[in-house]
Amino acid sequence: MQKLPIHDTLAGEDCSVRMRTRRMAKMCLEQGLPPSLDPHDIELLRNGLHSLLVSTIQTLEEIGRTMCDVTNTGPWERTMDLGRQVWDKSRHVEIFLKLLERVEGYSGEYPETTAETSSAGLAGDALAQLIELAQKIGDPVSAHALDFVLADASIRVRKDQPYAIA
Amino acid sequence: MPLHDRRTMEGVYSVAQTAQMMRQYRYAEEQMMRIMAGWIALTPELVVKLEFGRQVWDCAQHADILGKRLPELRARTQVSEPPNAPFVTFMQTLANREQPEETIERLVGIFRVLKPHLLSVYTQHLSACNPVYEPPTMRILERLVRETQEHILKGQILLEDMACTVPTRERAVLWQLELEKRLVAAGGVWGRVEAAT
Repeated sequence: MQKLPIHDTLAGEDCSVRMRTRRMAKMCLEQGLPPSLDPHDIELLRNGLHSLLVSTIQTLEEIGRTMCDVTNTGPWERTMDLGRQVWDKSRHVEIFLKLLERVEGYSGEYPETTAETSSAGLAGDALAQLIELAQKIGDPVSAHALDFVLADASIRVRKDQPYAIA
Repeated sequence: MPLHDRRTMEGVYSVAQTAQMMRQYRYAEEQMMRIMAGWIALTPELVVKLEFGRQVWDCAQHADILGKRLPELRARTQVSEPPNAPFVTFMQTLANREQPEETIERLVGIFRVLKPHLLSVYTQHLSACNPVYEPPTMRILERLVRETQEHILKGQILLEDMACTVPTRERAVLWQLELEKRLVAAGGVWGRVEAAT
């Protein structure tokens, strides 16, 4: 198997479009779109869910490649931990897809930006904001489901610490 | 009528042979885990990506429980060992289908060839275990059999969906044949090469 494939060879669904953040911002301005969405609008929830979906797929791919490429000589516990993260990310993607369906969104609705973050800490902040937004706009189901994802993200931030220090 | 324990004390495999087979199963499960993990980024279809993601964790757990059993069989913990060089070549051949348009081949390799072979081997080994002194091995094999069956079923559903035309079905069958030849040449995960008749 080829080791560490370059970014351009990564496979995505036909409906997804990848572009740089700067280019996307420029395109929004050119089309006269507002710089930010209404903080009480369902569109913001849809956009936020899509953004989490995209970044979680990217993280899933990154962790998978790490498991495949660079853990042959590492401790077995580390490999197990990565395996668990792969499963968690797969489940989270499924949750985001289901929640997107509920708010009439779909995968590929917005362009993917290459600056999406995969940090568990920052993803946790984004999740907390989305939970708050879902509660504000009266969507307790989304808030409830996202809270389970946030719980997973919280344990991940704690579990990352030993590796970060080592 | 008094109850009689009709279990016998005969056994098929020795401690050393059981440890050897556990290391070989662990090799297959660990490699499969790494292969599927690597394929996640190279597979365009989201539904397949997610199924690989789910099964990576199951394979990791399979490798882990097999590895934990080894010290109980007077062997080093968490060690994998391929049965022979042709089996390593078989695994590499299976892993090398990594172009975006080769999802069918990836699914065939795992769900039509490798997992069905492992299911058959695990089931045979389970039936050869002695229920008096090998329950720890039996528990592990029972779990492997149950979960591998579930994996094959899920993979088959994905394959039915992806290889739904005559040319794609033909591709799937041809690739399966190629891999089966290599698997047989290697003697499977046990590494036992039968003389060709």
